[in-house]
Amino acid sequence: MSTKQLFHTHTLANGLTILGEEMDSVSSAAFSILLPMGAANDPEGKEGSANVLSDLYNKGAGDWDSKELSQECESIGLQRNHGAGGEVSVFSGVLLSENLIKALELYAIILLKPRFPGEELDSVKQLALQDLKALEDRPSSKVMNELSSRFYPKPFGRSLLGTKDGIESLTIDELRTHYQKNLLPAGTILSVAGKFDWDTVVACVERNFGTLEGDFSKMSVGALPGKNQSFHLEKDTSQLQIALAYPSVSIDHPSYYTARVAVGVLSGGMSGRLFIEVREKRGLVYSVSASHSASRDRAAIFASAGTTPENGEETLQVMIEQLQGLENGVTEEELNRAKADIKSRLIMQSELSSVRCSALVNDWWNLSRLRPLEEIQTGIDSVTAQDIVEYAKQYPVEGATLVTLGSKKLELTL
Amino acid sequence: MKFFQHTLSNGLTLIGEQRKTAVSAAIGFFVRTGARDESEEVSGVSHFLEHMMFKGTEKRSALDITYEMGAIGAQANAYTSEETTVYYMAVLPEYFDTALELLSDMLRPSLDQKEFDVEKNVILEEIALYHDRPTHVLFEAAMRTFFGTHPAGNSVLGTIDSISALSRDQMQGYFDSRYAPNNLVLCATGDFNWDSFVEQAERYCGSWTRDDCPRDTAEHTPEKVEKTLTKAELTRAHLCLVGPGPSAQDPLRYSAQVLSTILGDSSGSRAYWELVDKGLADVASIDIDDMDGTGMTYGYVSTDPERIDQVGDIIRGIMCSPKPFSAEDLERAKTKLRTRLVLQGESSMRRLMAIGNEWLYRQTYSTLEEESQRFQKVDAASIDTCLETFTFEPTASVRLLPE
Repeated sequence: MSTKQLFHTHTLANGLTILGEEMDSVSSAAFSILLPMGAANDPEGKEGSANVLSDLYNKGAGDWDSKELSQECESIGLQRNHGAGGEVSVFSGVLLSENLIKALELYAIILLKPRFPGEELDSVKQLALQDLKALEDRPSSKVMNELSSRFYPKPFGRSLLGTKDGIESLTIDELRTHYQKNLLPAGTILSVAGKFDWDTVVACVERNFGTLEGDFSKMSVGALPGKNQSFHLEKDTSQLQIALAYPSVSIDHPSYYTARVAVGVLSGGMSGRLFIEVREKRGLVYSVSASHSASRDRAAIFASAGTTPENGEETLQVMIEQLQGLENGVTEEELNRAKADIKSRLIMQSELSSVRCSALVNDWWNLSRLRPLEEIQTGIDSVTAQDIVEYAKQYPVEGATLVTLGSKKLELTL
Repeated sequence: MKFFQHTLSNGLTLIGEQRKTAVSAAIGFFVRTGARDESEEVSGVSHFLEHMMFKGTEKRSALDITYEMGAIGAQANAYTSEETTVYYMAVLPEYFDTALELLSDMLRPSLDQKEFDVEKNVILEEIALYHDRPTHVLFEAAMRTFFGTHPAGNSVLGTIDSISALSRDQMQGYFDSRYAPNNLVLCATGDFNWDSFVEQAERYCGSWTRDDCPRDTAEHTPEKVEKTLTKAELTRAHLCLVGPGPSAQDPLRYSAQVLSTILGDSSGSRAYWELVDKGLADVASIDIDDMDGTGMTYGYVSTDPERIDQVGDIIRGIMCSPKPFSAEDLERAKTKLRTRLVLQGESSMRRLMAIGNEWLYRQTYSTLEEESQRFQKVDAASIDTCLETFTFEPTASVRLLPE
């Protein structure tokens, strides 16, 4: 980036943080509002609470019923998204910048004066149950869902969709209580990116959210134990889905950028080792990839592939060889390609106000500060081949959790 | 934003939309070829060839291509549809020239026999992958059913049999007949230099020779057909309804797009309120697909198997009775579509796809403002005119149910 990023931060007296990044080249504005309530906070036996709540917000707020609310959003051209994640729920939108303040006012009503009408609960639960069933028809998503819940210690790996029993048992009173309990300004983060006037945004947020009260502290997960375990889900599908996870370093760890580049060597663009060895040289799969999934205090490398059952063993074996192979060294060319891929993605995505907006809330949630793109680039640039070798030895594949889904069971032998 | 256009003497059209404030540049070859240009014998060759474009040229091996793309951090990919094949790269502006040379070279592939044999397995894996995706199985069957024997309904992936039997020489024959420069558009967007782009394109692509690349654009007259397919271990029931719609050349497509947004956008539409909001279906949508000389209006729902009849009647009812809608419904749909256009303007990649495809289908260029005005002009009267030709009433109905 040639131009310096213009960040703003402001924390209200009640702890709510407002973040902003001004972008010269766009005429849109985006916002993200993070509430500290995700699947991990769902009460035991009530899995799916955060997911169902995130849909219930749309069912009316303030003076509006659900249809009026939707029309209010659409009449200002707001493109919006919402959803519950592992530890947080995020509400985001993007629209023409002249309508940003209207959108923030609207979301203040949605989030602070939701109606949560009892008569709508049944249809929201129906939809949540249908989403749960639809997952069964998407084998590659299903296998990752299963892997997360088996790899992370409870309650962190929970499916974001919840469970059938959990959803069915929810009552409107329980959901209202859950909402009240988790409406905590000190854990709430609001960001804007694109074209906006910062002072007007701050005044608007202060006016609407300034009277909220309540303390907040984040849950802790601690270190992930190595597991070395295999699970199989039998299903009559054309392809066998293979997915495995093993521990890595989180965002605040000194080796974080090393882990990112290591995964880039394995799976950056089309020139990563997994793609070259499993697909390009052997033609075993259409899709194979690895990713680094990191948040505040936990992280893992996830690797997955889909292949016809007769290729299953060879595919898994080649994948493991590639993951383990990092310990034996990385060439300068590989290192440079991995870095180029990460940096170019980072810069190109920074054109979009919606991408910057979610980067801001994520940084604040994970690190309690904002990282300029330049800092990330410097972090990536500083990684050496030797760093990766040492990292790979310290965070080996041994102890991974494997999940397969399809018509053939595979075992992890390391 | 500034637009440029130039045609080389061999017929290759170059277009570019410059945005100096962009942090990236994107380049794409848009080829007017796809599944509809294939004979049954070589079904799937367009898509297989798209993969082979990354597998080596006279001067580069497959690995050379991959590594060179990696070295400049290019975000590269390609896709094949029923009627277009597109190859693209987004890069930081300083790598524009490198990317252009590389992509131009890739478009003259060597189709190495060994690489062909390995890639054939990848294609077969891709077919297996999509076989496990109910929506893909359904949409492919719905298009085939709607178009009958018309080539616009051809399968993009082909079948296990057609791909297994395909030879390298058949692919070469297909390439020779479809990839002449006059059947291609080379497009650039974002931060790049136009004069240098033209000069380099001439150098890399100027020697490619012109040829006839005809396409069967015969009229299609749909018949009423209903079909039910089943699939083992399916959890949801899926339904797709297809009827005639405006083509990519038909000015009625703006009114049809606005109407389909009122009827079946993913949020705030009639289908949303009557099906998703009530918890009857997890997905319900109505949309249009404007194709070369033909087009479709279609509806899709996913629901519990025991509710498929009830839900099917509702989505069909919306398509068969698209009116009335309020003046506010109309305004909201137009606002939605125009906001999407503004956001398109903020990404080099999104603009590349928009202007490349526009040139390929219509040989015209529109600014975002012009395109936005066309949606703004849609009113109740223009929608009525559209409905006189395209009623939104489906002719083909395909269900995919658990076995």
